[in-house]
Amino acid sequence: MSPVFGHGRLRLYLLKLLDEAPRHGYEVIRLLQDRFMGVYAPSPGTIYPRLARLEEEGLLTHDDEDGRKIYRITDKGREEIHRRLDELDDLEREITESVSGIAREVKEDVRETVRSLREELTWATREVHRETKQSVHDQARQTRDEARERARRVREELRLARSGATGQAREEDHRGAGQEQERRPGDEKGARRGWGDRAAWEDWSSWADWPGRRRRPGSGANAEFETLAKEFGNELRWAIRQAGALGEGALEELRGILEDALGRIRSEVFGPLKQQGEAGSSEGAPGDTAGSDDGAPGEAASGEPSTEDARHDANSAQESVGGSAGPGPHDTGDRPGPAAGT
Amino acid sequence: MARWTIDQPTSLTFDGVVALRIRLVSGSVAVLAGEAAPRLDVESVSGQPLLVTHDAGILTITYEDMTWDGVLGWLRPQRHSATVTVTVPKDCPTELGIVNAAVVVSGMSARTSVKSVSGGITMDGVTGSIDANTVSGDVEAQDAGGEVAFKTVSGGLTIAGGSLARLDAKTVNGRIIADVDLAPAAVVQTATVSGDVAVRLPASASARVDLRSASGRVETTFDGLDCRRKTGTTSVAGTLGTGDARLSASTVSGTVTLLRRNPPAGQERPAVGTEKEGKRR
Repeated sequence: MSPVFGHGRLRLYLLKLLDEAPRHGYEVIRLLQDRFMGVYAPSPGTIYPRLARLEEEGLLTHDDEDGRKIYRITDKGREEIHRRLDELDDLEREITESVSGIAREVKEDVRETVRSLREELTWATREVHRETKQSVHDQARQTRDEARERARRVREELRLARSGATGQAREEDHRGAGQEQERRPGDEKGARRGWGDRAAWEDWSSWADWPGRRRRPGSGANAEFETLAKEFGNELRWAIRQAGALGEGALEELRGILEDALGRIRSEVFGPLKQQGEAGSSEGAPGDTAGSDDGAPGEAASGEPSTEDARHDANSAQESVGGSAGPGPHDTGDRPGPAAGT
Repeated sequence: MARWTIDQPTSLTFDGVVALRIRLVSGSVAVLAGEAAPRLDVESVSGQPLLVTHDAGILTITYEDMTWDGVLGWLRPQRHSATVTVTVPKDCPTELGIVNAAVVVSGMSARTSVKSVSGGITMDGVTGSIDANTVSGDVEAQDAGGEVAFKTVSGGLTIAGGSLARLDAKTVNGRIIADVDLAPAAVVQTATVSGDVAVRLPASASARVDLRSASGRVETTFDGLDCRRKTGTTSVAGTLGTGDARLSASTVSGTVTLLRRNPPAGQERPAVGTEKEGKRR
């Protein structure tokens, strides 16, 4: 607060207060405080010496009442007030202004507080929103990641299952091929129910143990060989289909050729390898291989040459060629079972 | 009955005021609590002269042509303007009717009722009960206490500090901001159509909370409240502490935010308040 009382003004105001009524020092202080709404709060250390000075000058006098000094104005004091009446009016106006100044001050003060609070809470609100959004976002991301992880696991399982199923499917195909072989002798029922030594095929997957053999593509020569065998099967089938119905003679001829070819492959390509585990191979292997390779033509020849059947059989034959072509040559020694069964 | 017609700056003192009624159009009015003799300071008057009566302790400041009931008549274009400061005991009930004057009320502890069209209302350290109605005027309060009721169309309500026993605020699109403590068993209710609501309570607050918004967001920094999002309502509900007080907010499209005030920030404001209080009294 700027000095409320300029030079000599406080003295004048004290006289004015005591002109209204005789008062003791503390009352004067309180009146000053109230008049200025607490903006100006004179201390007793300011007021009492002033009152004492005014008394010395003969403007005031005091009575002792219950040990307290009650100040009252003297005629000399009133004279001074009259002399400075204009000044007193100015002072009154200034004080009034400073009182309405208090209202302004209060307003400014509150406004300032409110403004900063508003800003603070606006910021905080925005921050909360950001965090909430962030946490929702994080949650969404977590959910998404979990979902991805689950999907990945499912895919993995699916892949494993599929590779297992592939093995089984091959097994089935073989059975199909075997059935066709069986059917040729005529005992359809027996063949379906039969092929009883399916157990022998149960450990089909153990074929994977063949040294150097890999199921997965990209395993070099084996993969290429698979492709080669498959292509051969396809081409053979294509040739047969081109020729139309396959007569009994043609089938015999074909079997002869294939056996020849297989024989040559055995002796010329795998010759040295063959020497090691020879025993009984010449009997089992051709039967097995021929059986699976012959399946389709055999069926086509013996059954009705309906296109649907043919396609179906062709498919199964293709599978069986693909599946059995690999193990075929190796099957020779240790797995004569199925072949012998025919 | 004492009666004054005031057409120039004047100061009046009264021997006792038990109730205060003021009707003003524009300018500004301040009602300050003081322990000294009740006092009226008119700093400026333009247009019509003010009519001041002091009857059976009831101090009334109004205009000659203005009846208590003819409020709508005030809305006619007119040039009534006055700057008035009234100092009364703090336990004096006060009633103000304002068109667009700025209102400042400080330190009153009885019932303070303000009706304003577009004038802003500023309150400092007002306790007891506050009842404010505005069309578009804002209410800004600092260190409020007791019961606060506020109704407005587009005015905003801001309460910075204080301990409330009751807050009942209704706005259409006015924003409600309150940074307060809750008295035991306090009831804080806010309802807005599109106005945002932001309430900050001390971390130690104890209240049953129910905040809802039909299409706006409802968010909180308090832990342990249940946030639900459904079609048609977003809500935050639950119990803070032992749930002594009640806090509810509902809005159609506004955002409701319940913030937690951490102790350091909480200690700051009272300190400011007491310093100011000491200076003024």
